[in-house]
Amino acid sequence: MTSRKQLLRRHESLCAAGLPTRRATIAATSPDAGHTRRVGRPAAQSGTAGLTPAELERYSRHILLPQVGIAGQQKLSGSGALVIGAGGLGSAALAYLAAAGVGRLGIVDGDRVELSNLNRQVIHASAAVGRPKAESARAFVEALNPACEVEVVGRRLTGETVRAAVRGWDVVLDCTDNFPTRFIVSDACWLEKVPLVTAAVQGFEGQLMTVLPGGGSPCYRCLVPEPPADRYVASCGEAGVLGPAVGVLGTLQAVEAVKVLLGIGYGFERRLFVYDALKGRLRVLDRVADPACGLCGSRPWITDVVEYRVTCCPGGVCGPDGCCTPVEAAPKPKRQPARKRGRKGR
Amino acid sequence: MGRNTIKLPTPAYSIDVRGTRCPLTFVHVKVGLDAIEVGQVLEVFLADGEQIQDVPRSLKEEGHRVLSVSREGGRFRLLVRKGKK
Repeated sequence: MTSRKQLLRRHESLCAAGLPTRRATIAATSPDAGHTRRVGRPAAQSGTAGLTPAELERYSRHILLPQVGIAGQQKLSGSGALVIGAGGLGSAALAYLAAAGVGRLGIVDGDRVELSNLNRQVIHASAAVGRPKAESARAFVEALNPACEVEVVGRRLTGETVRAAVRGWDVVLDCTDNFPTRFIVSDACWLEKVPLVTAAVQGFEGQLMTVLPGGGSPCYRCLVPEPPADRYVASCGEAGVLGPAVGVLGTLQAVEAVKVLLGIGYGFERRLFVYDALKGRLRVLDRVADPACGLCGSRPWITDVVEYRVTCCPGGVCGPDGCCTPVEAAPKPKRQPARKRGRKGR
Repeated sequence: MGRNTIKLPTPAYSIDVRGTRCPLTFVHVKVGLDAIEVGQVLEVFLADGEQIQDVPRSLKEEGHRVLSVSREGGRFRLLVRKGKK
């Protein structure tokens, strides 16, 4: 166990380490660092390792990390991340992925910006109220990092479109706010073998996990086999969510996505991250694969995306077009509904 | 280290990072290292002060081998052998 004293000392050393860096940031950097003179056998590369001087400076704090370096930064530039949902989780995730220099970003959202979004969906400005969220998100990303190539899907994903939507991306971030989309995204990513970083926040509580298909990682359904029964799903009265807590989880999604893209560190592919902002408590729980899982178990019965219609509030039903659409027959569950309490909110 | 009579290896690549400020100085050193293979030698010209204090230390921390540091007039010449990772 780390003692409080050790933690404080660590904190002090971090603060001290920050000082010279901060000072150096203020000082203007000279462009005349020379890579011109070659002695002996000339090296093959150009003087800036394929990154422009501006990129070297923009990403210098990444390049300085031995685990990232020039090669890692180039890897990020050559990678693509699909962010499904440009709400609270997606805001934080998109901002950090763009800033980190992920070369290609996909943004999926069929909603428009509403005033009630703005306590947590920090990439959307007040002036963006009424605009399509995906477009507002694109404007933010392009302003932050013009080198980032943005692809926008201004519609909610459906069982028909989801597999093609996730195909070809290096990582997918599930930043959605409803179970039907979570399940089709999780199924599609597993079937298309795309790494998935999924998170959810409700109230003061958030959860996050990574699923690496084919990497021995338990899938989303191992933890949540089926959408929870209606009575467990949050009602409208429980739609409250603490803005910065959503930012914590969205930012953590960006962290884990970058780690997946770089292939570094130790992720949440076999663990569940749980954050209680109110109690100030962080927990990491182990996840195990369910041998009877319909998606990844020994005898899987889910061979294509399964789409659900789930009631999200009394008298209303969540469908691809939002709340209060008629109930359709959900596929017959092959096993008991999940015991877990619902997770909602972004 | 100063002058020595031992024959030092010929550098495969050379950079002059004088005029840059910390921490961008080390970013440019990394660019230089990126241009050579593991086991090859990079020549780095450094300014007195912060650069000559920090760069050799940072190189060692990242697993590279500093072969020599010598003063050449107002600048320093550092030779480093690129290490694995």
